[in-house]
Amino acid sequence: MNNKQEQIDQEKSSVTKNPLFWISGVFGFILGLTLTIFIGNLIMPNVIESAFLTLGMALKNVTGISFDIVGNNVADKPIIYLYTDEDDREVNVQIDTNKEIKVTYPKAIDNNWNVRADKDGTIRDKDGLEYNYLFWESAYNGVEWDFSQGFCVKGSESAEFLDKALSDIGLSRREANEFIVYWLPKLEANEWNLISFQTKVYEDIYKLKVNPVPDNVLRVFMTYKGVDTPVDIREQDLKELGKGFKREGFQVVEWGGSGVH
Amino acid sequence: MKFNFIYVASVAIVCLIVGVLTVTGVQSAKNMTSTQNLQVESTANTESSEVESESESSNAESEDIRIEESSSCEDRTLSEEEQEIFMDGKVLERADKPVIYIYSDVDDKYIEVAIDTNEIISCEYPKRDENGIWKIIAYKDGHIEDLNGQVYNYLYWEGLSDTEWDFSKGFCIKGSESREFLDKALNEIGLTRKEANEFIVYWLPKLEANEYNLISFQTDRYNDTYDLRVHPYCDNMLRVFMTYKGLNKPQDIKEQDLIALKGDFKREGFHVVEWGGSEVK
Repeated sequence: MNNKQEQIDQEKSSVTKNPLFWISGVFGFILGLTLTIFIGNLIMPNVIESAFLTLGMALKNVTGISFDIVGNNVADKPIIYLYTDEDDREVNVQIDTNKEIKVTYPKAIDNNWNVRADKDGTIRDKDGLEYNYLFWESAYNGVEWDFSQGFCVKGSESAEFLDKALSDIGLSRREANEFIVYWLPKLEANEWNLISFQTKVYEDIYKLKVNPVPDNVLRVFMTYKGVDTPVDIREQDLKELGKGFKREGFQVVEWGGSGVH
Repeated sequence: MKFNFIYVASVAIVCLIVGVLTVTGVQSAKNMTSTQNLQVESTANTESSEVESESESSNAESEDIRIEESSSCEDRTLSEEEQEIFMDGKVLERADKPVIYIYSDVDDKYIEVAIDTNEIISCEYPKRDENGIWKIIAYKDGHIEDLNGQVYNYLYWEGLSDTEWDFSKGFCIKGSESREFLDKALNEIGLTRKEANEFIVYWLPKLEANEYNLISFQTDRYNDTYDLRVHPYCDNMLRVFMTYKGLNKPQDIKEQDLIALKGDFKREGFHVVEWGGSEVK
């Protein structure tokens, strides 16, 4: 009995002494971890992404160095107008996303705003401070925007294009003007721009939840790529984009965009 | 050998992991630093590297990656986010998004507005005429029409200059406290809440991106660089131009008197309000 036990022990120790045992152990561990992440990423990409996001932010907090796991493209300056059907109406607005929301104004708590809004679009926070709109900005990575339809517009003709396009989509002149002064210098900096207004892809990533449920919602999100020479692209039907949206009842209008590299 | 297969497979997997990590790492580093690379490259080509190298070295941690990466980024075009544009070897800073609100004393008033400057006006909306003049019809509620009847909220322009801005007085504000600072400061200077809100959503992301900001509102030097001419003369004019420098550590600065900045500006008669700003490297 004893001899047998010793033999087994000896065999064990000879195995643990073999460096290959440890090497394969470590590699096995890495292999397992990689496979978990890889398969997890296929099955539930959102969970894995937020895990890395949290990890990245934790590392950044501890070391002060940005590891840049978090997205480095920016959903730039979406602003949300609330036009309620009665004055001083309490409204909750939420951006439902797994991406990082970097800047908000007024300050959103957990991507939630609780504000009061008037028919003319004036928004007030709980302290009574007035706002023209809700503003947010988000960082993202690895989003495949839909460029199957759109426009190829000369940089110097961007103003004319936007004047017409935004009016076709259904922005009011005031909203369109605010949109244009934000995006014009960025578009004019390029020789040509491939411009596409996003619908489903955008709405899937950044869901807008408003309570009470608005009667009409219009979300305009422009993506553009700077190009040196004109590119052929199937024209997007802008009237279709704003179809069904009416300036009636409680309306929510949002515009934003992102430069795609 | 018992472990042969596991060993070989493991090495292959590790190579794969390292490969994937390198690719994603390089990709993200490339995206992240592509704009800065251009700055590094451009300064190397121009004579004005002295000013630039100071601010660049503050980001020393990432400096190394940038230079390594720079060769692969040569084909990228100049990003619109670029705060500095190099022209004739001079470092030009952008007067970002000044917008001019015109509040007329009567409805349907014909007004001519011009920016008198030697510097370049790089962007404008609506377009000025061939003499660089905005010819518009203004209303009491602040909305503007061009001669074709198109409606605008304000006149917008952007300029490029190499002006040495005045940082003798100002504020040193933590990036994360920028919103509270701007809420208060812009109110003291005399912007309405609506104007201040538009100012804040433009500058807040830029200010919050820095640990600290040295902020100074410009007066004479701004007026000297970009003189605003309005015809007929307006009764009251307020020009707010914020310059800021990103800092890693707080810095002492003599506090600026914002109420003095407002001077005797009143919201009376035909009045013109402008806000804009510039990041100083």
